Amino acid sequence: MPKSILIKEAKEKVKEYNKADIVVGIPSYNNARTISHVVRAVSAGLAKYFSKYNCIIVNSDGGSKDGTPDLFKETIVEDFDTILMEHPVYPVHKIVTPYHGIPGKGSAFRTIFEIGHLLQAKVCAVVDSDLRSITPEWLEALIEPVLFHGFDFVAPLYQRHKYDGTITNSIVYPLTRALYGKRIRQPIGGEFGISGNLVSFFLKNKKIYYTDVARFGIDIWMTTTAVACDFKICQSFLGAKIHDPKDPGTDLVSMLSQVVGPVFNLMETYNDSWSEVANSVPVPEFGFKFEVATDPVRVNLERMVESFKQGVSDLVSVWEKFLSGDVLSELRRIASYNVLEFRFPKELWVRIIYDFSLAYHKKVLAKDHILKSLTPLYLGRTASFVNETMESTSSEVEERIESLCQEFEKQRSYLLSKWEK
Amino acid sequence: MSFILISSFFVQFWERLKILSPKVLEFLLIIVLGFVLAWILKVVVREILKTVKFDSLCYRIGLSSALARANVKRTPSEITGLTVYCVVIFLTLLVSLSSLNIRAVDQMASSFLVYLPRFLIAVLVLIFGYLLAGFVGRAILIALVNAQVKSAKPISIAVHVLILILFLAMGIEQLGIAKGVVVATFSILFGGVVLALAIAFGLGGKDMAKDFLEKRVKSSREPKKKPDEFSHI
Repeated sequence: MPKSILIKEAKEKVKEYNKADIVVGIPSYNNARTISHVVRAVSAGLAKYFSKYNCIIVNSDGGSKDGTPDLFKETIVEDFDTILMEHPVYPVHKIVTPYHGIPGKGSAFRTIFEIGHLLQAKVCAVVDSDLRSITPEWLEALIEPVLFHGFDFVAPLYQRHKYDGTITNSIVYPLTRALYGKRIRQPIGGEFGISGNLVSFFLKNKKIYYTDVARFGIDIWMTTTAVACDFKICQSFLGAKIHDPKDPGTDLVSMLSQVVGPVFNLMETYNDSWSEVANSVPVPEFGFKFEVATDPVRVNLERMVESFKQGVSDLVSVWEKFLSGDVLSELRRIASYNVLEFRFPKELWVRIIYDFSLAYHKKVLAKDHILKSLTPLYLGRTASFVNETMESTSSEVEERIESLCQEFEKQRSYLLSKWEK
Repeated sequence: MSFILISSFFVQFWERLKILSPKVLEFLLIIVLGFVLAWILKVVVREILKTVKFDSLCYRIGLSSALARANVKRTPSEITGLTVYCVVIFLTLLVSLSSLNIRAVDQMASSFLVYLPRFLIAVLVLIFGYLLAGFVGRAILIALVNAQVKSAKPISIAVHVLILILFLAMGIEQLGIAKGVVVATFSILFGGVVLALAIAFGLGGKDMAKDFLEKRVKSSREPKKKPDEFSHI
């Protein structure tokens, strides 16, 4: 067990409560607008579905300046009678603590996991603090498969806007599915249910919390580790995912490299595991799926296509070190399209992602340069996706994503043939 | 009479040869041993560098592509091994010549040995400058393209070239070649370029700068264009 990273007050609280069956973690940073709603939903969910269990909610905060931790402490569910048939046996306790280490979600999760581990929790669930659409039922969906069905890892399934989660839809989901053979639709969803056993496993590798995993990379690291190390995995339908608009300061370039970097790193770590996989298979699903209407969103197509075109004109000197001549000439060809005609073929996109992963593996350039030079291509692919699905329904969009996944699986042999050369 | 003269010449030659022959033998021995040592060192260095994957490191940092552009067919490990070989051969020649006790050679050897560390430092400075210029130039290019700055490429090339010039000047200064002239030329050139750019920008871009500032002030008063509303992750 690694040395504790908890502050004195958190340790005292853990000593006071001694043991818990369920720990729900809420990482936060300046989420004053939504934290109260999230805490109310979590408290109600625990009281409604797990009233016989000893539950603790942990807020791991990254130094919010808008009073998020105070709001977390002050929030109480006034009237359980409206939602409960019987009163909980145990009151739901709360721990609020800042986290140590690199600022980011991964460091917050580490603190939550450590508290869960010390309290010998059977289940640890984590939910984002910027959620507007969370309901008490999310807790049931995330915790029940672990507590009653013996699963180790519950990934979320959401109904999202067709343009939401483009990094997930165009890179992370298809790539992890093609590599590890498990169809986990939201590998970086943000809400997870994790068994006590897997929490202890996550805490073993403390070095990982000093990499990009400490930031946006934590979700993909947890999912991939659970899959590659043969833990029992399922996914639960939660409904619509609507969250507070992201901080405009959150830079897409950093976000993309913090997510894709760990995916490529994990390809090195679990090379033995993914090189043996033949096909992808579905994972067990919980929950009742239903259609949810999502608000329309504004997309600046012109800006995305412009970024792609500038990349093609200026970054060829970087890409030519690991992309072949035919890929580059194909990129030049599609760069000549105007905004509304703009299309980025899926075959080309898959080939590019595999070539980037190979360049990362073979260390053709500094890793940071490889990852950051992906941004204009990603924006190009996103613009094409928006163009292709402008009139599509959500099920038609899912079909397109499915077809992209199949392309990733089809070209997998290309990746394997080049990996060790 | 002539016989006596010839015989005395041969006697003297023999006497000289008797004195010189151990030195000549020493000279030849040093040469042979030097060549053998140089060859062994070349092989050892090359193999060690191959074992520690020096070639892939050079490929990663762009040195291999620079060599390929210069039409050099050998790998970086081989080139380093060959450099070690040449240095050892050169040192061997100096040591062997100094064993003959020829004053001019002695002076040349000692001044070369004094100069050698400066030469090696200059080479290291140039290599480091080359790598740094490539790395920084590429990082700036990628950052500016991602920020959608239109003149990303010329800016990154300018930074690349400036770093190269800076390290070239440092290398030449280390070698001690026309020290004052190099530093002065570099200062004048660098200062001149900056001044020329400032004047050109100030005069040529007067209207542009005015428009730019006006637009900035205007746009700060107007509501900003809203960003995309969808979440990437």
